Amino acid sequence: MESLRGIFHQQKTLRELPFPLVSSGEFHFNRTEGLIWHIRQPIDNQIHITSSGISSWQDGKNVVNFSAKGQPLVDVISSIFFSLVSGDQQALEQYFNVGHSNTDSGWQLKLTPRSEQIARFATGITLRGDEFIAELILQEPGGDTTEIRFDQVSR
Amino acid sequence: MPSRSYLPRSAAIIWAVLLILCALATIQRLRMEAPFDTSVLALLPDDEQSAEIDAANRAMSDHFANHILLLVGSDSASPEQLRLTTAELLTQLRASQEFSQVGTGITPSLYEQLSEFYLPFRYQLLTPEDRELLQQQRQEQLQERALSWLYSPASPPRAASITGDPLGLLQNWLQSLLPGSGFNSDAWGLSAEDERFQYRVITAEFDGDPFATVQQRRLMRVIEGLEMTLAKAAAQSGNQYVLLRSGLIFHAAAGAKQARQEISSIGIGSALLVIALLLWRFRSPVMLILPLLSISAGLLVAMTVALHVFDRVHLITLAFGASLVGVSIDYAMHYLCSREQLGNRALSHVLPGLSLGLISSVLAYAAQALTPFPGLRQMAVFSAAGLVGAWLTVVCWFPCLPIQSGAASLQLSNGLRRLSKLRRPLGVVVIIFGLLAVAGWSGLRFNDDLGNLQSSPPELLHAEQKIQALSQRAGSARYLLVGAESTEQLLTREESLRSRLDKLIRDGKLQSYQALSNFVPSTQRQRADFELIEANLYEDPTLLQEFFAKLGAPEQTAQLAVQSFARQPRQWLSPEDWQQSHFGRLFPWLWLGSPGTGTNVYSVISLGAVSGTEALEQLRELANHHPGIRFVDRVERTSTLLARYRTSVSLWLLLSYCAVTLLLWWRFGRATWRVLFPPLTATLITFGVLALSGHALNLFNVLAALLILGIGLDTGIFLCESKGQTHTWEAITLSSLSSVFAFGLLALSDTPVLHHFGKTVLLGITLTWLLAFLTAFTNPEAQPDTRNFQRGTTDHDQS
Repeated sequence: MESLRGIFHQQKTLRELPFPLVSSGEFHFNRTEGLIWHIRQPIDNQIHITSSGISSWQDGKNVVNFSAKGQPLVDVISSIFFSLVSGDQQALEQYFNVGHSNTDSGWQLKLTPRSEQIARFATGITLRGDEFIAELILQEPGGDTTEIRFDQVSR
Repeated sequence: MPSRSYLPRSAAIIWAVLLILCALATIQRLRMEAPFDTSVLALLPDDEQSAEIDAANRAMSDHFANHILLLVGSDSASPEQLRLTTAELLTQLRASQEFSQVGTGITPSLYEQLSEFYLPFRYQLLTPEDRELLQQQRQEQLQERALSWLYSPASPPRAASITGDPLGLLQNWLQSLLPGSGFNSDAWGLSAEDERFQYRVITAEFDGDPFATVQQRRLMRVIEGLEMTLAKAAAQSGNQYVLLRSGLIFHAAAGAKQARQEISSIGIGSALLVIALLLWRFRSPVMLILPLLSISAGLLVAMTVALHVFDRVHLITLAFGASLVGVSIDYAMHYLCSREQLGNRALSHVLPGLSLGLISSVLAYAAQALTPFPGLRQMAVFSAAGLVGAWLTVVCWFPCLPIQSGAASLQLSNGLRRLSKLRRPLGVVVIIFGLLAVAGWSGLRFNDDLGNLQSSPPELLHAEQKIQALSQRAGSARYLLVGAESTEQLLTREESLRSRLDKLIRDGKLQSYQALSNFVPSTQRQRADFELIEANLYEDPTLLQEFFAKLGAPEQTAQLAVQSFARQPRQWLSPEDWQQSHFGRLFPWLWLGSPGTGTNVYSVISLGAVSGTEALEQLRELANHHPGIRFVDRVERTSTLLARYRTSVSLWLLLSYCAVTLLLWWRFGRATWRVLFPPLTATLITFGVLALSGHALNLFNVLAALLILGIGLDTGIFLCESKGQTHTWEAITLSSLSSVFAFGLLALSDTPVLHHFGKTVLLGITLTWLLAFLTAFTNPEAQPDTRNFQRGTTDHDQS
């Protein structure tokens, strides 16, 4: 998959907060530029995930920068997220055991981590989709859960 | 006469008893604990011994001693294939059960362990950037960062809960800790790459002593098993694989292997040659045992006395001291040769020569005892005691032993007679050498660099360098030793020094460093950061309320955060706490505490690669301008120490020659020059020839000169005393030859120290003998001409 774009609705449930953190915005995935995750609500923030790291931009200013080199998990996270968004099953199989099943509305993948290192990032991931990815549920080891719904996805 | 024959016998018995006592004492001492030093630091003069530098070096060595790092590399395999191959090797390592920890360089739980450890201190740890933001009241930036962190679909796991650390200050601080080393990290561990190869990292730790042979062999077998697995993988897949190794145990194993090979080739070769020589001359196995007996007795006495006088003896002392004791073979040879000719009168005949030989040698060696260097003092005592012990053995025991003068060979004396006809050509040879030496003397240089004495195989050194370059680790060769009167002063000193080190890194002069205060800020700083955080975030929780409102959290969430702050008991992080933590155990050398006596505390800032001599100078300047900081370059320190030893030995060697001259003048008068001329000239010619061949002299050449002096003295003294009789010539030839076989063959060794020593001995002793032989012809009384030899033959026929 060379490029992908669409709208997302994200709901993050943190263990210690009794309410979810809700955000929405647009995303644009391009194999050369990486993933641009533009949050419109409730803050205006752009997150760039590339093979060399994760950076965050607010009002054009670089706010956060995690470089993949030397930081233990950033490389993992960015490559996993790439593969998740582009539905690259082969790439995902490097990190996860993939359980494929069909549903009424399309396909479902249940991913379980293959190594301890990856389990630090996610204890389980569920992907659902039809032609493109439609839903992503990520469970983190601390008990946090992130649910993302993708809409109006096109190339 | 009965009373006179009791004297030798009672002397023999007394000596036997003394030797037994020595043996018992030494065994007792050795059983308690090995009183041997191996560290180079033990060779430093007393007033320069530094308990803290010793502690720093030892902490680093101990840590690196039990760790190995392997790089599995390939230039053609895909990343996936390389990962799988590495995983296979990891399994193999774990299955061998020789290693206590096997991993890919980063333990997955490291981050959690860090978070857990630092959590109680989360209100007092700030990165410099965050500190600035808070000081300048630019908290919105902190808010923005925390928000993007929270809303990002993919972000690293949080160290604390959102009420414990709302703005992620601890989070950010922990990120700054993680070593941004040269290695890349991914889901499967650490990796690296250069122009051609991709590598994956394997780290392993083992218990036990890397120098213990049995352990070494087992571990090396496991590593060889890894090589075999790689070879199989290469054959199956057609890819090329390499395994780069780094770790002390590989050097130790290579050194042990080389030592074993050389002991079996050179060692046994030398022993066989000496045995063959003695058998050829004496045709009797008994005659083999006796010289061995006297030398062994000498070594025993030497060890006993040295251990008694010094608490601990250095292994290097033992090695070279033993070679000096080898000079004592002269006494045995001299006695045995004359015993053949003179029977029971032998002892009284050779005793003056033997005694003078002993006194002059002891005088020559004992001069070293006056230097401030422990190594030289120990060597002086060891060798002097050893010579005395051997001498006493020859004098007390040999006369009482029934020595059959069997069908001894005349070949040696015949050979010498024939050689005496060749004296003119031999003279020419020596003059040629002399001219070469004169030519060489103008180019005489000294080089004490430790690097020249490096004996590890080149591929191992190359691998180490490569791994160092890829990992950009702070090494253990250079560091800054920080000292202070209190822990707090220590940490603040480090903190002020680090700003200068950071500048060096920005300028590209220094690659990296590791300091204790990175992990444990000074209490002053912790306190200041605490007050900053308290004032900005918790005294007036408006900012936090804004933050949580942006998240859409209920109103009381901010209150929860404030409560979390109030509930946290205030404690200041200290180096002792840190040392107990998992991370602290990864870098045990950073905090030394109070080694030795005294209450000062010390820490180490280990330094990564330095980009050149100018940068080194800057580091030295840095150390000089900051109180309590010392720059330590371990390699340079050792090289300088070797240079000082060399200068000292050379000086005392000259003084020894002078002192011995005085002693011999008393006995021989003008004939003294015959005694001193051969060894002195031989040494000078040897040094000249070595210089001509491009060799820069070092300590071990000079130590060999001591040995040449010892043998040369005995040669000259025996000749002068006995006026050149056959048996003396035979004795001298035999001892020179056996010294050449025993020590000269070391010139074949690949170990630089032994090689230099051996070369000098080989050339020096041969020349000494030649010069003694040739100069004897200028003395009508001492000429070893046909007349003397014939007389010898006649004597023998008569007995």
